[in-house]
Amino acid sequence: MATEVKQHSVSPHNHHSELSFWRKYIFSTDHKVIGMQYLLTGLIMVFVGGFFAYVFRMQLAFPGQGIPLYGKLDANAYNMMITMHGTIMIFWVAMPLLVAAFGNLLIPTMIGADDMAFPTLNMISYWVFFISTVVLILSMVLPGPMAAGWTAYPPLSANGYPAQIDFWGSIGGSLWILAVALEFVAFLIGGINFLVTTFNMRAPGMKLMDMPITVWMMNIAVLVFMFSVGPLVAGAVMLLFDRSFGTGFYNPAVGGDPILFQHFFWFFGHPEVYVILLPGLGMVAEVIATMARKPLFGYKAIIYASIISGFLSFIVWAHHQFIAGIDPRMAVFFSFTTIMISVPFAVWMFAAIATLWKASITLNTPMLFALGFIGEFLLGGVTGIYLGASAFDIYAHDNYFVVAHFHYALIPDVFFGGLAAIYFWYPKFVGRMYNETLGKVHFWLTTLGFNMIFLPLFYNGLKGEHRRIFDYSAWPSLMSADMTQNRVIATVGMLILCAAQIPFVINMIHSARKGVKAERNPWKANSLEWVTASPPPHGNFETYPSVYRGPYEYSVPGREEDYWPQHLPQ
Amino acid sequence: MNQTKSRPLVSNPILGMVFFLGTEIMFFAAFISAYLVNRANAGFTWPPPGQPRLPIEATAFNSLFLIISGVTLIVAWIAFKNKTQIHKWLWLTLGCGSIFVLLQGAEWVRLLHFGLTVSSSLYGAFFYLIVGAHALHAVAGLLCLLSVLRQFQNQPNLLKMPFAIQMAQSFFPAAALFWGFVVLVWPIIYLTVYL
Repeated sequence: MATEVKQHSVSPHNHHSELSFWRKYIFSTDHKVIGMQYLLTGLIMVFVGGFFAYVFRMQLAFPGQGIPLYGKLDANAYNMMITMHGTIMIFWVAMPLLVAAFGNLLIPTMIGADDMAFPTLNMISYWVFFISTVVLILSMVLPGPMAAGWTAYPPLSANGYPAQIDFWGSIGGSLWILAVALEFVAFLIGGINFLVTTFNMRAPGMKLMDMPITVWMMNIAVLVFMFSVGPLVAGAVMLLFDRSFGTGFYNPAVGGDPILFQHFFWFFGHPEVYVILLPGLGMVAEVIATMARKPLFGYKAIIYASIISGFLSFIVWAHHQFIAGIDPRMAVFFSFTTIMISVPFAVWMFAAIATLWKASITLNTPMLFALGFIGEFLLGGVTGIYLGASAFDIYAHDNYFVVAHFHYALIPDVFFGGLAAIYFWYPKFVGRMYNETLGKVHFWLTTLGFNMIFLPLFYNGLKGEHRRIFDYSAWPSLMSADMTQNRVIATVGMLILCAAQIPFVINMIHSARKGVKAERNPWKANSLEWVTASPPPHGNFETYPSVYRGPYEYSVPGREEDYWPQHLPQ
Repeated sequence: MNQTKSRPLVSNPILGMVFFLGTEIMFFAAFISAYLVNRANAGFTWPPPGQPRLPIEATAFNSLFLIISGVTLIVAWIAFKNKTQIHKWLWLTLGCGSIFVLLQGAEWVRLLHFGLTVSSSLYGAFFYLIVGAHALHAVAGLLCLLSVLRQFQNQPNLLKMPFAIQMAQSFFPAAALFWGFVVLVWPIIYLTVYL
């Protein structure tokens, strides 16, 4: 590495800033615009997915009655909505919001680069994602939408066996598979971009262990995604063949194996949990360290633990299949690894708590969401350890205990982590401060609504409320007074959670136009994105920074200020 | 505005392609493991009775062309490094690769005539799935090599630049890696699916 070459292409964009509207905001190659495009698409899709949740929760609490804004729900539409709710929330909300949007916004600015390594590919990535969104919406309105759960297990997802091949009659489900595949292509391109950018475009002096934890987590997540997505694409191609050409890969009558699809799905599906969890953990750790004004406790320990969890996430997948009739000896192995994978996340939890210990904490909106994340995610994590034990899982897997568990894992991550990040970096990328009061109202209402939905479901689940029933009034044993009451409480909680998003939308739109202009570094944080103007100009930095120290040098003894930005020389 | 940076250890296109190939390896690993699981489940009824057998010798002959294209690619890489004549080796790679794809296509037509289709049996389904996936990759790889040739035509002095700039700006290293993957994964497919 002795040779030093002049980089002439550091900011080729600055010379021709008179780009047309289309090139500047629509078909832009600027990572910040692409990040914003992903963010807005994700935020729009959360309302689509949320609307489905509203409809089917209303149906569960008040079966058979007309639902305001929708009307009467039938069982097929219910199945379609459950499927689309899961698909949208995981692939069209969590992934674009936590990975694509914040990865695009933060990675180049945090490592001091002018843009991604492959800006054109980055633009293609967003537009492939956009097309996939359109295809997904088409798949809902065309005949035969996918109604087999977001996991799409055959034979249900293959129109039964022998598969009934009616091309136009089942076009919706086939388009659903296509949409998911296109979405993976988009994130694959984006992921390659993230990794290459991080490896090759760091500011001078920035070693791997000087990178903010967010950049680390994004890259570990993307690596996990890239190595797990291949099998699911393979499995999806086989499912599409079964649907369209009558191959029978998953049809036991001709020697196929329906469990095979579950293996493919969860070989991807479980790492996917960590793909969306790790960026959340990284961004929340960032918020906590900044607002606690203390160095992030165990920075390296968190990184090593996350790498280990990335490896472990590839050998836990079959815990989703304990009730699918897999070999009990295999179940023992997967129980063991599942319980083991909670250790790296316990490391993160303790590191976060140790960072907060004896700190002077600023309780603003991003910090509230970050603290909310710690509390709520703990519940999801702890119930996960119960479910990891196959003996308990066999009872709990098909009831609402599991539903409550994974919502307690994913909503803290996507909602609390994602919103902490949105509020935290809002001044940087929008250039104006958000309204603190509205932010706090948003936080408390969201927390209230969220817990009101899912705490009662733990209880109902343990009482045996099966999770794949459309209308409980047909099952007298599940219609006891307390269970019915809990379902109503959960639905009211859902309404509160929906209403809680109104202050958020008002805050975001109003502050973007009328908010106080943000200074460069409103939180007095260390990492490089706070060096540049808010919002960063095209090419990100006026002068490109060099890095002299790690990102968490807060409250260093002997310094006047309680922070020490990475780019300042000694 | 110029900034001195240490040169990255591995240039962007190569690093990107290496990560992409990681995904590709997992993709083919999934197909092949699915195939092996089904084959093991079938036991002694594999290949199923009444289905045509796969042409082992003819495919071995076809594979020869693919392997030769791999060898000429290595020679092209050496020529790229030494800044000597690379075009003819690239054309040879392209030619051999295309012959492989065409011969395999002809074989498919024959097999379809004999009654081996995607829906005739799981045997046929897996054959067309895995070999078809490989064929798509081969065609994509050939298109990549064509775009390399076009780049050398448009920027003739690229080959005279310092090696580091060559590596960073030419499509060749990434395309060569991809074609190398197409060549190397084929023996594995041949050994599992045909034999």
